[in-house]
Amino acid sequence: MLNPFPAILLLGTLTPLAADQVRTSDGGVISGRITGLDATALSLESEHAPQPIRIKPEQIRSVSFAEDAVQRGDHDARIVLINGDRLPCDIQEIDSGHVVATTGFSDALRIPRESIASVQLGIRPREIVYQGPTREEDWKIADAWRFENETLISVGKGSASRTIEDLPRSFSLQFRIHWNQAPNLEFYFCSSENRAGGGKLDRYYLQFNSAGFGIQRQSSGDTTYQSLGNASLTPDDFSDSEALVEIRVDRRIRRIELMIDGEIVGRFHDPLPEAPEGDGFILSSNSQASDVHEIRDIVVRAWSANRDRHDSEDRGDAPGDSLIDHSGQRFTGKLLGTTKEKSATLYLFESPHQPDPIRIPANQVSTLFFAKPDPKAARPPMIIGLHEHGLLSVAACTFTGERMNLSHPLLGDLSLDRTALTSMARRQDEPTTEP
Amino acid sequence: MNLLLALLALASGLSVAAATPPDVLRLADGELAGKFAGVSADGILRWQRDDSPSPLEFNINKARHIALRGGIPARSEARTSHVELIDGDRVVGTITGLRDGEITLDSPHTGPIVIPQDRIRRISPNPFGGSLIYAGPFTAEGWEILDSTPPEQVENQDDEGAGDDEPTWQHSAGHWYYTGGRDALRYPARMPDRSIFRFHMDWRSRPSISIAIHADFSAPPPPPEKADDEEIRQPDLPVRMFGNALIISIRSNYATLQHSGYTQEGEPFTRHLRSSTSGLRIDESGDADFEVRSNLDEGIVSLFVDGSFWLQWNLEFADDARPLGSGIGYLINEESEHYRITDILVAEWNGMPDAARSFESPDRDIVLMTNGTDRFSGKVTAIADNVVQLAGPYADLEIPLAQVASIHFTQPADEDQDDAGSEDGSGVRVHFLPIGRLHGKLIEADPTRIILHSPTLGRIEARLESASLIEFSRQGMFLQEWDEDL
Repeated sequence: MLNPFPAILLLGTLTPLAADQVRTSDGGVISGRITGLDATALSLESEHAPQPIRIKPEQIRSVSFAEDAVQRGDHDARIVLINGDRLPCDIQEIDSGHVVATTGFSDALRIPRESIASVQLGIRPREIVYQGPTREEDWKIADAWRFENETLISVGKGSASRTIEDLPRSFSLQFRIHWNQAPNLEFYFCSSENRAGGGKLDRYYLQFNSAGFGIQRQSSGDTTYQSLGNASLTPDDFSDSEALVEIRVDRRIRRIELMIDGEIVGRFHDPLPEAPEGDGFILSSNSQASDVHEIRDIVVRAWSANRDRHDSEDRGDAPGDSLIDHSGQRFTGKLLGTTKEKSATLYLFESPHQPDPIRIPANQVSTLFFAKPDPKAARPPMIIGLHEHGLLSVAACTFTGERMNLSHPLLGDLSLDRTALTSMARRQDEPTTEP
Repeated sequence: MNLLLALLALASGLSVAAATPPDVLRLADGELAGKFAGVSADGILRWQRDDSPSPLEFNINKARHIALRGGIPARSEARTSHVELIDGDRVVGTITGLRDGEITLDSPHTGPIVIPQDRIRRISPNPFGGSLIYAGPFTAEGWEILDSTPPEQVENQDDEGAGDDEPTWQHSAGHWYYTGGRDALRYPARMPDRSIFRFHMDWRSRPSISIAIHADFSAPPPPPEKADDEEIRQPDLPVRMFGNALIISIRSNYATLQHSGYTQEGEPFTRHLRSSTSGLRIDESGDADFEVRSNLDEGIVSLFVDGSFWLQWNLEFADDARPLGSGIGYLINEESEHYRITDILVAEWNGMPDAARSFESPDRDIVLMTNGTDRFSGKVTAIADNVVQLAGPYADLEIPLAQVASIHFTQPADEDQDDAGSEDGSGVRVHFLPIGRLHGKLIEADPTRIILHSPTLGRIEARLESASLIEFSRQGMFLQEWDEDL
C-alpha cells in the first residue's frame, strides 16, 4: 500500500526539536511556537518577531512540533477512520452504535461505528526480552572475545554465550555486525547447550563468511547438520563492512525468516518434526587472529508472523463486519459489541455458522473491519501527525496552553495534549487511504 | 536402424478416425501411434494398430508414457472438487461425508471410495471458487511457439534456407520441454483481471526465465513518424514476443516484474515495477511450484513458490501505456540447460490472499471459505448432509460445504513420497483432465479401465474415459537420457 503521507512519516525520524519548526514551500525554515491555524494562516510566535508570524497554509510545506520530554507510546489499539485518519488508543467498549476509546492525550472518544474503517488491536510494541550487550557479566566470554563500549568484539577464534529466560516460541533476534576483513562468524540460537562447535546438539545457527549468510540446523538426530538455506549477499556487498541482521524464528511452525538491512533475504523451513527448544545464544568466531567482528545492538523480542500479516490485510468485499483473531481466523458477520465477564472483556460476534454469538476474548482479537473506507469522507487540507503513527485531518485549530483544540470532521470537537503532536503537513495529492 | 525412425515410418501407414486423435505410446527410444489395448497381469502392454493383424506387445518397463487420444479425454469431467493425499495424488469427486476418521468420496473415476483422514493433506470442495479457466497442457492445441528472429533477419534466413532448426519448445505427454533457443511459448489463456496462474517447472541449472502474464500478444505497431536524424527505438525481445504484458523474470536468487509494451504513440517501453524486495531463493537445479496471483483492479501481483509467499509488486501504469491482455507465455532468457513446464493452471481469483500457509498451525485443521476472506481453524469432526462440523477454539461451527473452498488437515510429517516408478516398471501415474492423479503399482488394464494398487487407497479400479496420460517409470525421468532426445 502506498503511504499517502510521506512527509509526515519522514518528519517523525528527524532529530528532536526544541521548538516548533515550519518549513515553507520556498525552502524557508522558521522556528517558534505555533498558536493556531485557520483557513487563512498558520500563526507562530517567534522570539525574533514582536507579533505572531502568519503564514498562508498553501505556503507551508511541513511543520514539526517541539519534542517534549514526555513520550507517549503505549496504546494497544489503532482506529482507522473512513477518511484514512489513524488514532492510537485503547478500546474500552463497543456497543451496537459506537466504539468508546481512550487515549493518553485526549478525553475519551465515543466514535460512531460508521465512521470507523478498521481497528487494530494488540499493537503495543513487542515485548523486548533482551537488549544489550550492556554489561560484560551478562555474557560468558571466552578466548578471543571481549566486551567494550556496549559491543562484543572478537579478534581471532572463540565464543561468547548467554541464555535468555522465558524465550518466546516466536521471537526476533536482531543485531548489528561490523567486520574488518574476512568475516567468519556463527551465531547459534535456540541452543540446548552454551558451547559452539560440532556434535549432536539441537539448535539453529546463522553462518556468515566469505560465501555469505546461511541458516543451518544442527540436530541430535540422524542427520547432524542440514542447511536450511542461504542468502545471496556476500561480505563484498556491504561497502561499509557492516550489516543489520534480523532473524525471525517461529518455532511453532518451524519457520525462519532472515532479514539483512531491513530486507527479507530468505524464508526457511526446518524439515525436522520438532524445533529446538533451547534458550542459548552463542557467538562463535572462526576467524584468524587479525580478523575482527564487532557485535552490538542485540535485541531479542517477541514476534508474531500473524500480526505482521494482519497489519497489511485488506478488508475485502465481505458484507458486514469482519474480525481476525491472533491465530489468523477471520469471521464475517456482525460484531454485536463487547461484554465483561469476570475481569475479562469478550467480543460478541454473530456468525452465520453458529446460532449463538461467538464469544472471543479481547486478547485474542487482532483486527476489526467495520464500514468501508469512504473516498468521499471529508479530508481537510492539513494533516497532523501523532506519536505511534497517528494521523488526524484538520482544517483549523487553536492552541490554549498545552492543548490543541480542533473540530474534526468525523470525531467532532477535540482537545489534544500538545505533547502528542509530532508534525503537520499539507495533504499530498489526493491520497488513496486504506485501512 | 533407429527404432524411432522405424516406428514413425510404421505410423505413417496408420489410419485413424479423424475426429479422435490416436493414442501415442512413448518408448525408451521412440514413439508409436495407435490404440492402447491394455496391460496384462504379467506386465505385457498391448498396442493395437490397423496395419497389424494382432496387437503389438511390449514389456511395460520399456514404456515411458501413453498419451490417450492425444491427451484429450473422451469425457471431460466438469467437477473440480477433489481430495489431495499426502502422497501427492488428487482424487476427483464429490465429498459425501467424514465420519470416524474416514472420508467418503463419490469419484467419477473410481466410483465411491473411502479414504483414511490421516492420509489426506486437504480436501477442496470448491477450489478456485469453481472458476477454473485452463488446466494443461495436455495437448499443444492453442499454444504457439513464436520465432524470435528479428524481422530484418528473417529475409536473410530465408535466403540461407533457415527454418530447419529444432523447435525451441516441444510438447510431450502433458509437458512443455525447452531444448534451447530464444523462441517464446505463449497461450491465449483468457486470464481475468483477478487471476491465479500456477505451474510446475523443472530446470537443470541456474534458472533464468521470463514469464508473461496478462499479455495481449500484439504485434509491433507501425513506428511513429520521426525526423530523419531521430532514432527509432526497437522493442526488446519480450515486447516483441508478448506485446503489452507484465513480465516476471525469475533467477535463482531474485525475481523482478516489469511492465512492457507500447505507448499509445507506438513507442516500445519497459518499466520495472516496485516491490518491497526482489530476493528469492530457489535451487540452481531442481523444481518448484510457482503461483502468480494478480489483481489488476487493486494493482497487485504476488509470487508464491512452493506454496510460500515470496514477493509482491505494486502496479503503477503510465497513462500512455496500452492496455494489457489475457495471455500467458514463457521465454528463456539465456540459452542454457533444459526446462520442463507442466501442471499449468489459470483460474479466477477472489483477490484475497490464500491464508492457508501463513495461517499454518501444527495442531489445527484450517477451513478456507469460498468468499476468499473467511477462514476458521480447529478440529473438523464430521462432514454430513453437506455441512462441515468444526470444533473451534471459541465455538463449534456448522459450515455449509458449498461455502468451503478447501480444508487443510493438520500437517502430517513429511513422508509418503510418490513411489511410482518402481524398479520393475510396474509403477504408474494416471493423470485425469482437468484435475486428478492416481498412482500405484499397475495390476492390469484394458482400454477403458486400469487397476492399480495404491499405497494409500489399496486396490482401485479407475475408468480411463477422463484420463489423458498414463506415465510409467516417471522417477528421475527429466534427468534421464531419454529427454536429451527431445
